[in-house]
Formats: sequence, structure tokens, C-alpha cells
Amino acid sequence: MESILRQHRSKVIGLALVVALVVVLLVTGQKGALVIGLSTGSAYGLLALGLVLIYKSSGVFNFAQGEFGTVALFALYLLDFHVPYWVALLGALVVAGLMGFLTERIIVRPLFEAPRVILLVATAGVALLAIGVEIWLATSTGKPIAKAFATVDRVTVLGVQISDQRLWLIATLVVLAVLLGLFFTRTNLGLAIIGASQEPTATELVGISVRRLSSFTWVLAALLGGLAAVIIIPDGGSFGPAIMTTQYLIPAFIAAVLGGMTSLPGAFVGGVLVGVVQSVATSAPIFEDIPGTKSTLVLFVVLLGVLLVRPQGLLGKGS
Amino acid sequence: MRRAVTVVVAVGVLAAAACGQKAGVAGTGGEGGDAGSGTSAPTTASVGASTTVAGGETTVAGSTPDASTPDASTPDVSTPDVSTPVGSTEPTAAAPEVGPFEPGDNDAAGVSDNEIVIGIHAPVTGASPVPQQSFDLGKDIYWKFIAESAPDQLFGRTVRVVFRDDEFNPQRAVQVCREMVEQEGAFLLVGGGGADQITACAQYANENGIPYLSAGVNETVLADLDTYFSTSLTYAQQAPLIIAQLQEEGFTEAALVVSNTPSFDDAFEALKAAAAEAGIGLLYENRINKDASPAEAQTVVQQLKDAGAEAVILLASPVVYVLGLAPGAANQSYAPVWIGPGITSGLNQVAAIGCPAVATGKFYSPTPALAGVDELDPDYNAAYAQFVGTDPPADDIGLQLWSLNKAIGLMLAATGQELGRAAFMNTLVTTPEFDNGIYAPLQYTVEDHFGGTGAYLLTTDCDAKQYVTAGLFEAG
Repeated sequence: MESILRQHRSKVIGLALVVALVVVLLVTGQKGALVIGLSTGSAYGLLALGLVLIYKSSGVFNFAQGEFGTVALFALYLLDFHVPYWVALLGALVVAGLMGFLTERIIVRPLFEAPRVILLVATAGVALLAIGVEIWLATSTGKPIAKAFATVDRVTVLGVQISDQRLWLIATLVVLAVLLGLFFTRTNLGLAIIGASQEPTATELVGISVRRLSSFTWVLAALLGGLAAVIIIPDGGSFGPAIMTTQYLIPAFIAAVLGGMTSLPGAFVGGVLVGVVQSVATSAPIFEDIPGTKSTLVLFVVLLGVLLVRPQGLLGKGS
Repeated sequence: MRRAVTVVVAVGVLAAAACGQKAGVAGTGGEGGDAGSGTSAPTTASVGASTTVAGGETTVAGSTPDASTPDASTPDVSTPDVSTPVGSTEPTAAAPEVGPFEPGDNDAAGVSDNEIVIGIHAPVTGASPVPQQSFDLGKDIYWKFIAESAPDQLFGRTVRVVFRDDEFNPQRAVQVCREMVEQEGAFLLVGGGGADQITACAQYANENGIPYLSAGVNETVLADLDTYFSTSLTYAQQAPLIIAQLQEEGFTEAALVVSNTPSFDDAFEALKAAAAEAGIGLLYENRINKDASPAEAQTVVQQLKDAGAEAVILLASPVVYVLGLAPGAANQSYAPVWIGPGITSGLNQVAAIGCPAVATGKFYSPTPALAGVDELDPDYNAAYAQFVGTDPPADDIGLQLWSLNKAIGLMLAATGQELGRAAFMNTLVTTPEFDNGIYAPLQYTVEDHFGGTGAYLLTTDCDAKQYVTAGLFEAG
């Protein structure tokens, strides 16, 4: 029993955390926060999956992850005028993937040997460039955007309606977290990506092109960013330049860090945790008297608390 | 552990840069540069004190002169007398009254024999942007119109407008205001939107004796600035109108959601006081983050719904309203009446991108809706077509700018040929009222620079994806 627990320590910790959180929220009357945290946090989690993917494979904090999503939104918005919605959605994902590919080819690959901090700044540059182009070509004001599923009242949990669009988001996140987890542990390609991030020279020596793997990873991460955007943002009905960066990137980073930065299921858990914390910080009476951006304040306290106890994050593996 | 710390620091730096209360709103205020202590006479010519500076009747348009009984069922905005053409003022008919302002070192900066420079700032990028194209196109239509139709109104001078994007950031607002004054030579400054940015720039203007005008926002801080003048009701002044409207619609309870910027503190208190005085119960109160996260907005919506609020008094940025609260409520099959003060939430852009989630929104505005403005001022649409064209068509941001510039035009004309900052401000506080035919008349005194006297109530028409005028209501 002890060895099993030790072997699945991360999963046990994650499960224990989830159970404890649910109990605390139900006991304190914050049941709504649980559902809101799940539905909103799923968006953070999906974006965080892309962040973890890049970090896991290349050790880079990708500040352009949000803009992969925003660019996909613009593509969806434009294509929706000309082709059926689902075709437009697929087109938007292609555009996101293409942006990821170009980012890797033009920015990341030439800086492959540079210190990671240089790449971090470079990805921030990509994000700023994308935002500038979005404002330049489309102006900074909002635009309406259609959603795939219009029904909002099919499912109600603990008094909170979950729209079909959000159900789609949650299902997508769960499926992707599991599939990507399996991909990185059970497939040769996934193992090669992990190997390339940890021992690039050795990986090359066994005949695997590290650079080709890098392209694949960036495209996959961009697709995840695009997917997050085209599912979650249309649920609000409108969008504007930089929306994924300004509204979702920071919570997604926090979700990734909370989850362990290298753990794909951790991104999911972290995303939900961030959503729940933000919701509880808004609604719980104990935080009522905190002035200013109390949800951000509480969120960072939680983040620091978790990292003090578990520096590798909730589901991350120690170095 | 080192990697974890690095991650925290990186995320923290990013968050610090992107989130949180914008600094620079309060605390930089000083005494007005050129404003005197209030007793000595100005050395430049002051203003004719006629009650009708231009543009006709002092009566406010609309059918409801008493704010306590607003008549929202009367959408017809009856036309005030705007038959007085521009340039028909008689600004040289000087009958000086004493104003408190004395000329400073740069009293006539921005004014030459043939030009007056006006600086406008507004957020066209940042967290709560308004369309830059609308500002670019609309900022000087009125001045072009005047130059062509009434070139003598400003004594042979034309007006050059310089515009800067303040990026929805108070520090940036101060920076661009300084640029407009020091590099472009602006005679006066105008705030196009955003309470925090207006407050920050108005403080800078006050420190340098520069007249500063904006639509009414907060009273806190601004009430202490000698050179600040509002051109419409402040948020706090609109509180009785909002509560009266709720009563008119039969609400006995409501919820109150106000952004947690200090600039809105006075409005928050005024709304609570007005509700208490009118016997409207507040089911829920919240100071929502200025840049509320999606989870926070959704939580507030859930609390509003759980509280059973059928009407929500809202004072927040359009981004929080359109991206967070309204769609969040729609996703919960919850459709309260959203009602509030302010300008930006009442812009057609909000209806265009927010419908159908914002279908129950109604907001007060210093100008009527674009539809029907011809009844009040037939010149706007015609001038827009003449100087801009029909693509893009005239919009309500252009109308806001037109109305503001028209009011400023009256003020400049009333000041007379010897134009200086002190004379301009003395004119404002000694002239009984300025009526541009669109705004409710503006009335300033030496003690009270919040000049608005009424506001239009705009309701959302999601079929047309625009706002329509429900009526014009006088304050107090």
C-alpha cells in the first residue's frame, strides 16, 4: 500500500486537494464558486496545457500563447462571413497552427542555442507584435463573434447554469489532458519530445531531429491556444485585440505553475484551482474588506503558499 | 526550487504589469496655477453676461423637468431652440463680471491671431478602448464647419485639434497632456473618456493653470481643481436620476455594482444615498475590479442572480459590462435591467457588439442617441457628410465630440477677442449658462464647476443594434 501511494504520489495529492477543496467550498456555502471555477478555470487550463507543452519540450515560458488564440479568433471572425461555422472554426485552428509554426521557424529556431531568458523575451515580442498588428488591421474596438452552441440552460449544477459551449470546453480540456498525458508517456514521438528537451545532443545522436520536434511542439501548442480561444471567447459574444493575453494568459501561467509546469493533468487541476480561487475571493465574506484587486491578491497568496510547500507544483515532479 | 522561484517571479512581474489598480490617479494634485484666491478682478476682458450666450432657450429639452418624476414613456425629445446659427453669438458685447482667475505666465499659450489649439486625450487602445477612427474623424468636424459657415465667430481664428491616445492609463494620460501643452501648444485640454485618466490629466492641468474640460465623471479630487470644468452631470449628480427612473419603472429594490477605482467612490456613496432616500432597497452591493477577470465577473453575476436583483445599477467600464457581466448574465438566463451613469456604456459600439446580452441596458448620456439628433441639431449629420463623407457613416462618438466642441465654441466666442486662459475661465464662471442646443444648458459658478444640468436616458434597441433616446431629464 505504501509503495503504491509513493508511486502515485502526485495523483494522490491532486485527488486529495480536489476533495478537500470541494468539501471546504460546500461547507462554507461557496458551492457556486466550485462550478464557476470549473467552467472558467477550464479555459485557463486549456491555455495552460499549451504553456506546459512548450515548457516541457523546450523549457521556454511562451508569452505568445495567448495571441495564438486571439489570432485564431480573428480568423474565425473573418472566415465566418464566408464559410459555414465549423469550417471557419477549423480554418481558425489552422491559422493558429500556422502562427505557431512561423513563430518556431522565425523566432525560436534561430535562438535555439540562446539562453532561455532570451527566448522568453522573444516570445513576449511575438505577442506584442501580434497585438500591434491586430490593432493596426482591425482597430482596437470589440467585435461580435458567434458561438457554436447556443443553448445555455441544459445543465444546472449547484444552482449555476453551464452553457453547452462551456460543457464543450470542459470536455475538450479533460480529453486533451488525458490524451496528451498518454502521448508523452506512451508514444515514441512523445518520448522523443521529452528526450529532446532533457538531452538534445543525445537525442540527435540516436537519429531524432530535435528541430523538427520543436516545430511539431509549437504547432501543437498553438493549436491548443487557438482551441481555447475559439471555444471560450464566443461564449461571451464579443472579442477584441489581445483578449486572450489580457484576460487569460496570466491566470493560465499561474495554473501551469500551480499544476507543476511539466504536468499536463496539472495544468487542468491548476486551471480549475485558479478559477475557484478567483471566484471565492470575489464572493466569500472573509475577503470582503480587501480593497483593490482582491482576487489577484488572494490568488498570488495561494500560489506562493503552494510553492512554499511543494516547489515543483501540485502535480509536478521534483528536479 | 530555483526554477519554481523563477516561474513565480516571471508570472508576478507580468501580473504586476498588467493588473491592479492604476496608480497616479490621486495624490498629485496641487493648487491651481493661475487661479487666484477669488477676489481680484481679471486683467483681461471678461464676458457678456447675457443669459443666452448662443443657441436659444434655457429650458431643457424633453418633457420631464422634474427629476423625481422622469417620464421615460416620452421618447420624443422635443427640440430646444437651436435655430440660432453658429456665429450668431455676440461675444464682443462685454459686460464684465469679475471672475477669480488671473493671467499667469503662459496665459495666451496656444492662441495666435489666426489659431487656437485644443488638446484632446482619450483611450483608443488599452483595456477599454473607443474607436480611434471615430475620434480621428470626429475631433474637428465642428471646427471645420465653423470655419466655413461662421468664420467670424472666433474672431477670425480657426481651431486646430491635437489628439493623443492615453491608453486607458492615468500615467500615460498625464504624459500625453504634457506633450499636448508643451509640444503642441494646447490652449486648453479636453478629456474624452475614462474617469481615472481625466482625473490625472485634470490635476496636471490645474497645476499649470490650464483650462480642462470633460464630460462629468467623479467629483472627488476634481471638485478641488480650479481649472476643471465638467460639461455634463457628474456620476454622483446622475444618482437621483437613476433612482427616479427605477421608481418610475416600478422597482422597489435593486443591486449596485461599481468599479473599485477610487474615482468612483463618490458615485458609489451618492447612489447608495439616493437609493436610501427614495426607499429603494439595495439587495446587493459590490465594488468589482476595474479589470475583472472572467471568473470574478461570473461570480458577481451569480451573486446578483441569487440575490434576486431585477435591476442592477452599474458603473463600470464597457469591457466589464460587455465582456463580463452582461454575457455572464445571459448565460445564466438572467436578464436584469442594467442602468447607470456614464457615457461609454451608452455608445452604439456597446450595443453593436454586446447585443443581445445588453438588450436590457439603459444609460444616461450628455447627448441624445444618434438617431433623431437632427431634431436637435440638423448641422451635425450634414457637416459629417460634408467633411468626412458617408463611409464610415456619422456615429455617436462624432456626435459627442461635435457637442463638446460646440459648447467650447460658445465659451471661446463669449470670452472675446482677447483670449487667454484666465479670461476663458472667468467667462465660464460668470456667464449664466451656455446652451449649445444639444446638451442640457451648462451652468458654472465660481464655486461650482460641475456645469451639467441634465442628461438623456438612452435605451438599447438590439434590433437596430444601437441606443435610442428615451428622454432628457433635468437634475435636481
